[in-house]
Amino acid sequence: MVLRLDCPHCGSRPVEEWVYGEVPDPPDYLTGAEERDVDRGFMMSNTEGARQERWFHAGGCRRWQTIGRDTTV
Amino acid sequence: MSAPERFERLEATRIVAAPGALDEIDSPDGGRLLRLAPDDLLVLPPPERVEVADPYAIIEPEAGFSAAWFDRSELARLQAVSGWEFPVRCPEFAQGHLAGVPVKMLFDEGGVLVLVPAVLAHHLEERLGLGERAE
Repeated sequence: MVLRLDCPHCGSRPVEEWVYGEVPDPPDYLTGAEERDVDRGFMMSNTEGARQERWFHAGGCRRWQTIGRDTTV
Repeated sequence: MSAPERFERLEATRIVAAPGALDEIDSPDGGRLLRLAPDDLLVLPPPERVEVADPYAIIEPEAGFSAAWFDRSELARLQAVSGWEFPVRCPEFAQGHLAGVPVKMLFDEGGVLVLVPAVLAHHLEERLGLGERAE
C-alpha cells in the first residue's frame, strides 16, 4: 500500500515524490541554546491528533504545500 | 522507432510571475505553455519576445531540462514504472516520478514529451533502457 499525498497542482502523488519539511518547534522547557539546537535538528514532534505539516513536492511542481494529517487515524 | 535513443537538451523560457499575469499569456505559434505551478510557466520553444503583465516577472532562458518525445505506444511501458495514473485526455500536462526520477510530461495526440532535469537525464535513459533498444 502506497501512502499518497494530494498536490493542488499535480494531483494525487506517492509519498516518495515528497520531502517532509517539519517546522522545528523546540518545547519551552528546553532553555539552553544547545539543547534547543539538538531538539530542532533531531527530534520530530509527531504529536497526537490532527496537525498541519509542510511537505515539499520535490518530484513534481517543486512547491511547498501545507497538508493536514491526523496521526490517530 | 517508437522510443527515442536519448534525451536532448531543451531550450525554453521560464517565466515566474503573478498567476493572473501568466493566465493571460498566449501560446506561441506551434509552441507550448507548460504551467509548472500557479506562478511558474515554461514556454516551448523560447519566444522572441513575451509580454507579461507583472512588473516583477522573472523571464529567463531555461536550459536545465532535457526532453524526448515518446510514441503513444510507449505509454504502457512508461505507466508501468510510475506510481501515479497518467491523464486520459489530451493535451494534458503532468508532473511526477518516472522510474524514480522527477519528470514533467506533456501528453499530446501525437506522443508524449518527457522533460527531465538535465543532470538526471542519463539516469532516466538507463532506467528506461533507451539506446539499448535501438538497432
